[in-house]
Amino acid sequence: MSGPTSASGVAAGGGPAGSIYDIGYRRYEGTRLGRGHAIRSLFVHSLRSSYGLGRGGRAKIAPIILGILALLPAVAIVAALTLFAQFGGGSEFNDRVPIRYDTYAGTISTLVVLFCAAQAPELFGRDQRHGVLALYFARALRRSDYTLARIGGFMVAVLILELLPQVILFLGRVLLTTDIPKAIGDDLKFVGPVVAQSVLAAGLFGGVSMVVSAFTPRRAYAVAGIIALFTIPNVVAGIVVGLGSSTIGTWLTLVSPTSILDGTNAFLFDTRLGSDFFFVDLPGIAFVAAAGVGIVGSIAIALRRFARIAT
Amino acid sequence: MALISIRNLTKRYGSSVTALDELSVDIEPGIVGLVGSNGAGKSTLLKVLLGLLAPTSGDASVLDLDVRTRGTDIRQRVGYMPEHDCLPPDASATDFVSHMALISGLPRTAARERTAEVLRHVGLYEERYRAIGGYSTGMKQRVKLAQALVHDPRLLLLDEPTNGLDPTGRDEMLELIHRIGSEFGIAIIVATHLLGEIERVGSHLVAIEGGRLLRSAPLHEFVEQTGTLAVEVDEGAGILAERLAADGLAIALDGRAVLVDISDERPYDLVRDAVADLGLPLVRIERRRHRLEDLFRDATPGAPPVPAAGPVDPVATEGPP
Amino acid sequence: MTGPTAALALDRVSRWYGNVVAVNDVSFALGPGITGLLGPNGAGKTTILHMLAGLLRPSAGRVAVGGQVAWRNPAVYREVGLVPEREAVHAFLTGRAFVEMAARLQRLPDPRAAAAKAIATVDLEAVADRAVGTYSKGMRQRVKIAGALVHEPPILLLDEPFNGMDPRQRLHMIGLLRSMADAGRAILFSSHILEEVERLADGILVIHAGRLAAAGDFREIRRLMTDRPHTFTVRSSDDRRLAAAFMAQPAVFGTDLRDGHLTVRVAEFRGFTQAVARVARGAGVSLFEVAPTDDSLESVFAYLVNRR
Repeated sequence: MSGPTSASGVAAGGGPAGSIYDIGYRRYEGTRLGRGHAIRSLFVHSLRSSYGLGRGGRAKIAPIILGILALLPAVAIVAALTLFAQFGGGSEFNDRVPIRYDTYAGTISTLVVLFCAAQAPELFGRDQRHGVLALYFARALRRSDYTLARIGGFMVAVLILELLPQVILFLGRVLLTTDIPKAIGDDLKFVGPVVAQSVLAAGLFGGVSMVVSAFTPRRAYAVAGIIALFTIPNVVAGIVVGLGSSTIGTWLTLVSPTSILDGTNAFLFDTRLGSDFFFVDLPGIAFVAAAGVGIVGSIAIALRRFARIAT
Repeated sequence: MALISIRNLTKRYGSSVTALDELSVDIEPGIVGLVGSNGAGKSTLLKVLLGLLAPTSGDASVLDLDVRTRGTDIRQRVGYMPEHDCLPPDASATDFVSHMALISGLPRTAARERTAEVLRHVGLYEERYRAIGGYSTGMKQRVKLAQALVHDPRLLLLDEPTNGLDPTGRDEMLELIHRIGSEFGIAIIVATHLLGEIERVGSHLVAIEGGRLLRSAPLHEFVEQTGTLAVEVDEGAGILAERLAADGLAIALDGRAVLVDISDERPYDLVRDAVADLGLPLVRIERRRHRLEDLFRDATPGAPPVPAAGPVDPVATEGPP
Repeated sequence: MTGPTAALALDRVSRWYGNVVAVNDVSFALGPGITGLLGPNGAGKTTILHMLAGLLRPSAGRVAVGGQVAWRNPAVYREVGLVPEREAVHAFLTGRAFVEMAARLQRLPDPRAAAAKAIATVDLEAVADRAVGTYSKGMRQRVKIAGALVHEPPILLLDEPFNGMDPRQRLHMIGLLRSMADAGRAILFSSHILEEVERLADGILVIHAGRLAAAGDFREIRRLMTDRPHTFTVRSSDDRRLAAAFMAQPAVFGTDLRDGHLTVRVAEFRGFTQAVARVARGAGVSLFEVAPTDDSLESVFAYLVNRR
C-alpha cells in the first residue's frame, strides 16, 4: 500500500505504462449530519430489530411466527369472504362473523403480549448486557435521544402488529363486495377507533414492556417480568372481587394493562363490555386516561433510568 | 493552541473520593501515552474529556472546545475505544460498524463506504460478515478500533487497547496504532498500564498519580541514555571485568553484563581491545537507557514530580532487584 | 519436597475434550526458580496449570508434583498455591474474609494470623476489610495471590498474574516473586507480557497449539535456531570499512549499510561473536554499539509460534 501522499493516475503518452493507486487512509470531508439523523437511524434500527432484522436468522423466528399468527384471523376472514363472494353471498356473513374491527384487538392481545415479552428485552437488554451503551453515549447522541428512539421504534413495531391485520380486514371487506363505494362508506366510521385503539395498545404494551426491559438486562427475567405485569393484575383483581370487594377490584383493573385496553376498546367502539367485566360502571374516559398515564409514565421512567445509568 | 488543554481540573465524587485533583497539563498532537496506577484517574479523565462527566472545578478543552459546554461537538470529532467489552455478539462487524457510523452522523452511503475502508485498514477481511460472537479477542479489539475510526475523528482515545491480546496480537495492535498515529495523521491518546508499549509507539508521555500530574514530556526525555555502557560476553564476564578494571575503568557487574562508566570516548577501544585480547565471544555493547518504570519506582503518591533524566550516578545498576 | 525429585513434572501428558486436544504429549520438569509459561491464546497454558494444581485429570501421561501424582491429591493441594486467571472471589466477601477462608480450607492452625501475614505480603492491608466487589482489577489480583500464599506453599502457579496491575504494583509483584524464588520456591507463571517474562523468568516454556515448542533459557533457544540467521546491529567509527572487513569473515554472509548503522547477517553466531572485536581492531575501527537485533524474547517467541 502506498502512503497518503503519492497518487498517480493512468500514464499519458504511448508505450507501456503502469500505475499504483493510493488506497491509504482517506479523510472524510463530506456532510456530517447532526443529532436528528442519529436519532432517526437508531429509531429505524430499533424498529427493524423488533422484527429480528439485522440480527441473524434465529432472532427472526419469534417475531415472524407471532406476526403470522396475528394476521391469521384477518387472512382467514378474507379467504372466507372471497369464497362467500364467489358463491354470491351477501352481507349476512359480514354481520355475523365474530372477528370484527372491535373485537380484533382483544383476539390478538395475547399474541401482542407474547411479542412484547419476546422482543422488548432485546432492545434495551442487549445494549446493557454487552456494554454497547458506552459506545452510543460517546457519540453526539444524548441519553434521552437514545431512550426515546429505542422506545419509539418498538412502539411503532407493535403498532404495525396491531394495525396491519385490521388493514387487511378492511381491504378484504371493502374490495370483495359488489358495491365497493358503499362498503367503504359503511366501514369508514371504524377507521378512527381502529387507529386510536391500535395507537393506545402499541403505546401501553410497548411502553410497559420497554420499562421492564430497561431495568432487567437479563433476558429471562425481563421476559418473565413482562408476562407477569400483563397477567398478574387481572388475576389479583379477580381474586379480590371473588373475596367480595368489588370496588377495590374495580379500581385494580385500572392498573392492569390488558383491562385498560379492553376498556378503551369498548369506549372507542361504543360497545358494552361482556358480563365477565364487573366494572361497567367506570366511565370509558377513565380507561383512556389510565392508558395515557401508563404511556407517559413508562416513557418518563425509562428516561430517568438511562439518564442515571453508568456506562 | 494545544490539542488538549487542562487547567486545575478537579473531580470529586461526594465528599470522599477525589478522582482528579487540580490536574493541569497540555497535550500536544502525537501518540500520547497516558499512564497511571489503578484509581489514578485515567478513566475519569477520559470521560471528562469526552464531555460525559462534568468537572467539579477547573477547565478543560479538547480541540479548542470547552468540555462543559461543547461536549456534543467534541464527541463528534473524537473516537473512543473503551477498555471493557462493548460489542453485540449477534451482529456482524460490517453491520455494527455502519450502524455506529450512522449514529456518528455519516449519511448512509458514506457510512457503508467508510465502514468497508476502515475494516480493511484495521485488518478484518472475510470475517467481517460473520457474527461478532465468533471472533477471537484480537478481532474484537479491531472492531472496537474500527468503530472509533469510522467517522474520521481528529482524536482517538484508546483505553487499554491491547487488553487480553497474546504477544502476536499485541504486536499487531501496536503496529496498527503506530500506523494510525503516523500515517493517518490522527492524534491518539493511549491509556495503558504497560510502559513497554508506550516506549515502543508513543511520542509523549503523561503520567498521573492520585489524580495529579506526575510528569508530562516527550518520550525521548524519559528514555535517554545513561552514562553507562553495558558489555555482554557469552562467557568470561569476570575476566573481562578484571582486565577492564586493570585498564583503569570504573566497573560493575550486573548479571551477564559488565557495566562501564563512560565519560568520553576512551572506553570503547579499551573494551574492544580487551575482548579481542582475551578472545571472548562478544554479544553486546550498548549504552544503557533509562526505562519508563524508573519514574514509578522512584515516585510516591502525592510527592512532587521526579526531575528530568539528567546526569546520573556513574554506575547505575539496573535489572531485577 | 524439592529434593532430587522435580518440584513439577509432566511426563508425556495429553488432555483432550472430545475432539479438541488442549495439551498434546507434553513433558517437562521444573525445580526451584521462576519459569514463564508462554503461548498464544488457547494454546493450553491454563489447562497445564490446572493439571499441575491437581484440579484437572490428564487424559494420558503423568502429572507429578514433588514426585506424587497431582490429581485429587490433598497432599498436593497443600504444597501448591494456584492463582487462576478468571474471577474466583465472591464480590461480597471482604479481602480478609476471603484469605481467611482459604486458610481455613487448608486447615491451618491459626487462619487469622496466616491470613494477616499473606495480606501484608501483597500489600493489601489498607483495603483488606472492604468488599472485594469494590476492588480495582489490580487489587483483585493481589487478593487472589494472598489466598494462594496463605499456606506458604513451596510451589506457586499463577495464570496471567500481572493482568490489570499498574506499573508500581507490577514492580512490587516482580520483587515479591523474585524473593520467593530465591528462597527456594518453584514458581510457574503464564503471561502475555513478554518484557516482564524476559526480566523475571529464569527459563521459559513455550506452548503452541497444545505442544511444547521450546523450553529453557530463551537466549539458548535462540542460539539453537540455526535455520534463522542471526542479525546484529553495529555502530562504529567507520561502518563501510568495518563492513568490508566483516565480509572477509566466513561467519558473515551479508552486510547492510543504511540509516547510519551497519546490519550484519551472520551464518554462525559463535564464530561471529568471537571474531567481531578482533576484526574491528584489525581494521582500526572503534565499536560504539553491537547488538543482536532478534535476541529478545519477543523475537524468539514470534519465531516459535509462526514457524509452521
